[in-house]
Amino acid sequence: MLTIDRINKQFGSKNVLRDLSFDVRPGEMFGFCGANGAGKTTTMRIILGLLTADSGHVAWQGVPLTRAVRRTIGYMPEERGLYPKMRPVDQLSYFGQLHGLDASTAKRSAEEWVERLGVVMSPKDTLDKLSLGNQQKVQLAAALVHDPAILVLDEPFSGLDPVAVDALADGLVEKANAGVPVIFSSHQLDLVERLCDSVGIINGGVMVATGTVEALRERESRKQLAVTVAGAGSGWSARLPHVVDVQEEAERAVVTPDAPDSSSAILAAAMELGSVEQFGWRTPSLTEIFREAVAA
Amino acid sequence: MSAPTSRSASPASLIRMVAKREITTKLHDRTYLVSIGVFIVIVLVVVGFNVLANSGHNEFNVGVVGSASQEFKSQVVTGAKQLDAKVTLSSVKDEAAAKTKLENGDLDAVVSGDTLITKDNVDTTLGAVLKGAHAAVVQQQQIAEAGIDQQKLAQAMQVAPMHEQTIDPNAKTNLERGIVAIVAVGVVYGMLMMIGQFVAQGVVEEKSSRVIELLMVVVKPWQLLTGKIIGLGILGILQLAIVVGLGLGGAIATGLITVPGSAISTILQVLAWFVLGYTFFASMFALAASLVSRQEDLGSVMVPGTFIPMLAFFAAFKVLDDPGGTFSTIVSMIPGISPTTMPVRAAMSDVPAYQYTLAVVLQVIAIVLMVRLAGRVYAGAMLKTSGKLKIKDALAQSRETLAATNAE
Repeated sequence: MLTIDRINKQFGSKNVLRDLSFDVRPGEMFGFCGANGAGKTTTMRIILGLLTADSGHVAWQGVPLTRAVRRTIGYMPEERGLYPKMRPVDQLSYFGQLHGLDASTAKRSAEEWVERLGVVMSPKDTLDKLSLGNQQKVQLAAALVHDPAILVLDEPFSGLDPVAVDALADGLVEKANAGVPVIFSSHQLDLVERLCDSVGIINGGVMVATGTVEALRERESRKQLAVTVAGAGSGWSARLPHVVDVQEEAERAVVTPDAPDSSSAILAAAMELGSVEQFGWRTPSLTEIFREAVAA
Repeated sequence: MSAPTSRSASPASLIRMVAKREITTKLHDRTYLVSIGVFIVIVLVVVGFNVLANSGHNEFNVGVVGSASQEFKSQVVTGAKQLDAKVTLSSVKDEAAAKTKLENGDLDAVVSGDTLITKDNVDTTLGAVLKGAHAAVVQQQQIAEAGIDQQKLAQAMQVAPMHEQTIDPNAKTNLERGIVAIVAVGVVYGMLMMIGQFVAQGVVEEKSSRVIELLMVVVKPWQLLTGKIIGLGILGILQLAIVVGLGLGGAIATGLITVPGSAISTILQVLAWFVLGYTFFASMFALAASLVSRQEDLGSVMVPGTFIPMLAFFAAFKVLDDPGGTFSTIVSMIPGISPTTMPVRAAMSDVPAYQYTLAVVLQVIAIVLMVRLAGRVYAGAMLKTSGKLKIKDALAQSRETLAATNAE
């Protein structure tokens, strides 16, 4: 298990990370969400050993990360970067070798990943001749080429078309299924929700919510009721008792009760207004959980 | 689930990989290959042109109207030998035939009795040979006609050659060697600036393309810097070997120039100093380059850096002028200036061993300090991939980067 334990980091007088903790188990896909400047990139750079934490530590299987273990991490930095004047296969093979593969294995692996991610290019093309989407795929291949034991990807999906997103997502799922812990940050919360087993939401350098998507939903559930009442007339939801907030759209309304226990009183009142066609606790989306967590 | 295996690579193998990439990338770079190709073509053209221009030089065909006397022939052969020329005599029927052959260039000159006929101006060497031979033959005839005893005359004409004495017997060779040294320094200096520029561009490329962040995960800043300097340095030496070897080798092989044996040691010294100078300046250029993030900004930070080797190059001319002076003694021991001035000074005068050693030791110390400083600035500046940095800020940041990347 990869453990990030109470990490603190200051840049000058600015607290960038405060007691940040989370775990990623082998085979787990961890979605790291947060607004720009929340501290995601700094956290990843600390995991990679590009920055040092002021306090706290990062451990793998209970042992603080060594440089040797860090060499097995596949990393995709937020600021994309490869050699523009080098052919993709040559540079992937170079990165493979730097990460400890021998020359022939590195070359084979480079060719495989270029093929698998569907990079469109002719063999003589240097990287700068490729379209941005294809360059992005090569960037991802650079994180995967040395068969990493841990994956840390900063915004891997940004700037990709839907087909490429699927290809990339499949690649990540496969890695996770093979037992590799995968951490990725993303603003595309629907993707995080679809792919991730667990999520961490960071705000202002503090982890405001972390856990499995279900657990977070659980936490945020029993907060809003979805109610549909036929034949109640306009403004019906405002007449419900024990209600703090309503959003009404014709027969449908999302109702925030003052307390979870008020639901039966609300149902009884709704039945007075017309025929209740739907009544139940609303399942919050990750976007809503995120908004809630960040606003709190 | 298996734990990550620790695949460790030694610093040496990482440095080797970085160096290898620098070399192969340059060898795939069309612009680079074209510029080297142009270089080689220029060298070949210069050598070839000189060979052509010099071939047949000092070889002459001379026609003699009627037939030449045995005496004249032997005088011509002796005279030509003394002047390092070759004159072939042939007989022509009459002056008219001779003139036709002169017109179409079959003959360089024609001797008709006591007249020397040429197409235009007579070549100085050929003129001297022919006139000398003619004079000698006529003299002997006149002496015989005057009835002077040939033997006595010969004895009287016998004069012991004047004794020669030189105050500084090595002055000429020293100057020759000095010129060899300054030419070599010039070529090497040009190469140093070119390769140094490559190092600087490479450093900025890694920052501007932001590939540096990926590299830093596995390669420590000093390893990256060392690999880059070694890789491009090897390329520079190969380049030097090709261009200089081709030019010098071609010129020697075709007899265009003769290099005095002592010049070989001078050239070797220049090359050894090139290695020292290159390491020093390449580190300095890398330091400067690491402060910026775009190729456009490179020029402004490189100015102070390129100023020093330029100064060193001009100082070498001053040394050529006065190798024994105080100025030469001082500059040839200043790190950064010594790589260009010491080989010139050593070629032209006897440098005390302690001074030579001191110059090398000081330069090596300067390299060690420069490499360390460059390594720190480079490390501190690496993750600042936008804007320009000050050395002070880079050094402040380097503490953290080095702590992070040096942790085991």
